[in-house]
Amino acid sequence: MSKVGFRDRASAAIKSKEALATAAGAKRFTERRIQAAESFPAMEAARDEAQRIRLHTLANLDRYLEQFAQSATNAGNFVHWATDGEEANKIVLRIAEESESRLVVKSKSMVTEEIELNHTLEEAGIEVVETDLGEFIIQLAGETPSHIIAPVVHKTRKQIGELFAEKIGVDLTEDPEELNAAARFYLRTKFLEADLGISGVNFGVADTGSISLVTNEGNGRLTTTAPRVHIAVMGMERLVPTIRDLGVMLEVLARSATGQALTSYSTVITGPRQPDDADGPDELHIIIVDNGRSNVLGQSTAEILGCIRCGACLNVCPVYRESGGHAYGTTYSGPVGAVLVPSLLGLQDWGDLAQASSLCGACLEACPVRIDLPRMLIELRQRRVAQRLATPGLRRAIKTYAAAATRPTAFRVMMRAGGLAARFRPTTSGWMTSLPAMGKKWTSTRDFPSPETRTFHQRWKKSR
Amino acid sequence: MREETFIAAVRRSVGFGRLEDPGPNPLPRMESDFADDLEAIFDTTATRTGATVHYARNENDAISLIAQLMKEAKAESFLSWDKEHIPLPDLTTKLEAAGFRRTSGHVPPDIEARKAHQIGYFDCPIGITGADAGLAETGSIILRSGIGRPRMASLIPKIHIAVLNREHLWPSLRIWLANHSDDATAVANTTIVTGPSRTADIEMIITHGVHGPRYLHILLI
Ligand code: SF4
Repeated sequence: MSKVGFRDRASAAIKSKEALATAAGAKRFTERRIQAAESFPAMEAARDEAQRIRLHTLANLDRYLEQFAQSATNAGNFVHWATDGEEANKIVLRIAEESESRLVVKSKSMVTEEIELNHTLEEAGIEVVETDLGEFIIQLAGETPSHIIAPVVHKTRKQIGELFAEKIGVDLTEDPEELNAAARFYLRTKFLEADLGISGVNFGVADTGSISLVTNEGNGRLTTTAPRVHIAVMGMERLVPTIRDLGVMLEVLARSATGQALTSYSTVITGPRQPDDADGPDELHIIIVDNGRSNVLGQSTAEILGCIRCGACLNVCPVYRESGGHAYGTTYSGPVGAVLVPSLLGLQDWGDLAQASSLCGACLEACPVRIDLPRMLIELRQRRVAQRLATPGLRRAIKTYAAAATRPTAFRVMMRAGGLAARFRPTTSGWMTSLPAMGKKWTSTRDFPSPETRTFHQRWKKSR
Repeated sequence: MREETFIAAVRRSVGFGRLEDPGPNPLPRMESDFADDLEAIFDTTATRTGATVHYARNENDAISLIAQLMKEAKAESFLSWDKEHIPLPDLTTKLEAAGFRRTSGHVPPDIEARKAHQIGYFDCPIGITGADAGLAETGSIILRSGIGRPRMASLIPKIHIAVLNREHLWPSLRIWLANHSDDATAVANTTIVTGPSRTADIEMIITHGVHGPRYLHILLI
């Protein structure tokens, strides 16, 4: 795992100009999302419902997992359980070998990125092709995605044109239409010749054992229709109780992710090809993955498991916009990554991600399921501090600071009272490189998060 | 790993009670602002997604409209659902009589035969399907898989033509699901199609037809 911290990765991203392209993309996403919400009067009510559905499911996850597995098995699927990434990868490999698969097509999936599935398959000599246009570009470039729903938001079309010319031998072009056509042609052959299709799962429906998959390009449908065998890899928290609950989730997901009323293709899959069906996969495997999630469920950051991976919190986050997705160092970036990654992988190595936020509250405002990201970021910071700092005095001081720094007025009052106002000037980077008094020791080795100066409302207005 | 061990770990964490259970979601909102005017709303919303909406008064009009679209695309063949699943009983027979070749949508079970058959779809120009429902709020159509209903017909061709009986228009996904939850999960695959295939992965510029159809025509009859 990465030993350089967030700051190093962020400054690398800023130097490479990745962050610039990211900021532009994030801004457009946010504009589209706000438009979509404005044209849908029921959005606020739908968000309340979506939040309720997610919280209720998580609070009863053991029960819903059992129900899901039972119904999915009844529907003719094979259900597998994996405690960690290694086990999940082994199961995939075994199915690939049993089905004598040489060529695998994949539709975009965060959980398979998280468990580094491609690596395992490639080591076994199996060709793996990512089919989401953005993921395909990432794969050709040998990079990692920088945004949950727009993996190449950091790249320009010129760079993509050059990459295509070099890797798939098409004429040099910057025209998105032509680049699309080139990818369609190249990937279509792969779809039709593939032995195995691997997808993620956007939502699992507990009472029917269905899985739902949404894609705009149609690559999700092709991946789960053309090959004879389909494997769906699902993070264990993806469930909703009923198909009607799924309807609510689809409603808020598309509007928050891309500003569409619904994603172009929202598919509900309930089992493999039925006898005499015209087409579809003969075999369907669902692998349910824990990989640290059951641990998170017992922590104070359990709420983060409600995330539906829409990307809205990334797009509004000033830190994400400035530094780009690669600065976060793992599959999950932005505010959701800053909470999820330290919760899953530990504060020891990943605690600095929790600092990568100005606590402005824009993420909470944007989140379709109203996940209280700022609360959890503060909690992670406090936990980290508690683990690291020896002196109880400093520990207490920081707790007070954390409480005050998120409220500009309270902060000013506190600073004025302490005669420290001049020394505690907020910096534009969001980090202070030197602290007065007993904080000195702190900033000799690390920077301290700068206090918020504008109220949340001012910032939010500005960011849209 | 065994299911019991997996679930036990989840149950232990659930037991910490970190999340307050608000209870299951009550029956969803069923109100609709536009119950009377579904067709006009559907026209607007479907057009906004990038689809084209057509109207036909009778079966003959509908069939000549489809033949016209196929001629404009210089298509010689088509992939389609079986005729009993399209609300135009004579459509496929008449198109064949007019000289268009119908590609079989039934994929053979043998693995090699399966691949060979599907590779034959590579350049397939036209796909024709029925639709189980249309949704006014979002401009979507709902397609269920099954016997005589190849999923590929709405997925692989450059142009997808869907024939929808206007009596099957519903206000929204939510309301359709409330009335048809069993229909949605009784078949292997139910897909809600909202506009043509779309991507904005390159510099957020929206382009169509990256994997699925580039053009979606919805014919209301
Ligand atoms: S935390 Fe909320 S806003 Fe962020 S990706 Fe998840 S669902 Fe979307």
